Amino acid sequence: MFKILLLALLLTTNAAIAQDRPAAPVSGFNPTQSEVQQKALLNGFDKILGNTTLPDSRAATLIQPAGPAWRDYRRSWLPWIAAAAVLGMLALLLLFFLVRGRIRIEGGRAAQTILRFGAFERFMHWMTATAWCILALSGLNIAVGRIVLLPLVGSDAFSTLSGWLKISHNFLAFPFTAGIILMFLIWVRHNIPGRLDVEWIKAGGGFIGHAHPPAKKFNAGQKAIFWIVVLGGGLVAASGFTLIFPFYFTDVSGMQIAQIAHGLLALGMIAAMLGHIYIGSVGMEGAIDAMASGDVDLNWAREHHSLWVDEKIERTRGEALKPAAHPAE
Amino acid sequence: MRMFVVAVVTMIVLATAGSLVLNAVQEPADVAFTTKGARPDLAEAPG
Repeated sequence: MFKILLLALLLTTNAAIAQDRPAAPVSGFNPTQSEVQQKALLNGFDKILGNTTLPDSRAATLIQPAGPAWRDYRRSWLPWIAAAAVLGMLALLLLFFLVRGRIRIEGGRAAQTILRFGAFERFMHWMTATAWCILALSGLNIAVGRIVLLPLVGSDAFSTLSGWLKISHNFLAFPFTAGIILMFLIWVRHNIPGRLDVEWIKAGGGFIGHAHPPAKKFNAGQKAIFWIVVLGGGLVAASGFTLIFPFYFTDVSGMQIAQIAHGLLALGMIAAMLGHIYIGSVGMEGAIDAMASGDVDLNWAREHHSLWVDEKIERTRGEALKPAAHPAE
Repeated sequence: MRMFVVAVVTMIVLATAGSLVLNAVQEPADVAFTTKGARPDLAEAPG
């Protein structure tokens, strides 16, 4: 009997306390009111706020209605977009290789080479490229690692690997950004689009058929890669820094938009760079030399950059030419 | 090859510098999102 009375007393007291302390209105709504519809609450506000004693007042955000839409994109759409960008590009390149084959030097290897890229140009290219490769792989792991890698390596290995990749993704943003700035400063004057580029595109750039339209240091295809790297990479870097420094530049909604832009731009760049890597290596004979030793075969240079070769030989009075390390074919 | 090695070394140096910047500017989550009273002092934890 005594216990029942005590229980009744406690319930009465608690009810009185609860009535004395009405729930604080949240964003103009009282969530205890029965007429409040959750949908109206979510649709009506950018975020639903509560109260907090935590040092960071942003922790008072209870619900951010745009969050589920972003999470849905992140979990459902992003993996498909990533698969389309990477696998789609690889399939296209394979198809191109099967149809066109390796683009050979039409005149065969020459007895001379010509300096195409100096030491500093190769340095900034490889610094940016190496950082980008790790950034791309670690970014893909963020996007699709749980789907692709986790079932293959198991949770422990995936957890450890993802931790390291996440760290590398954050820190390699700095050399990648530095490389993009350097590339812009060093190469922008060679990458202004012009009339020659229109002719180059009309002729299929030598990829379709065997015509070799004249080009200066960079042809229209290379200029496209340059601007994809500089503008695309610049936007990827800017959106990435917005995420590395949360709340410094924007709020949660802004960071969600930045993350979406970051992912989409990066996937577009990955697809473009796969094409760049293909043409610079297996897709075209002699192309890799430009960034390996810096010296390219003279016949290769005449076929793909005839105007640049003439200008370079004239400017250096032939000193840019060197005997080839291998006998001419 | 030599330029590639120089590029990789420079990349690591810049990444390390970036990590120092990030560590100096950002707060660990346990500091940013809790009050001092809510943080467990691992140094005083038994055993």
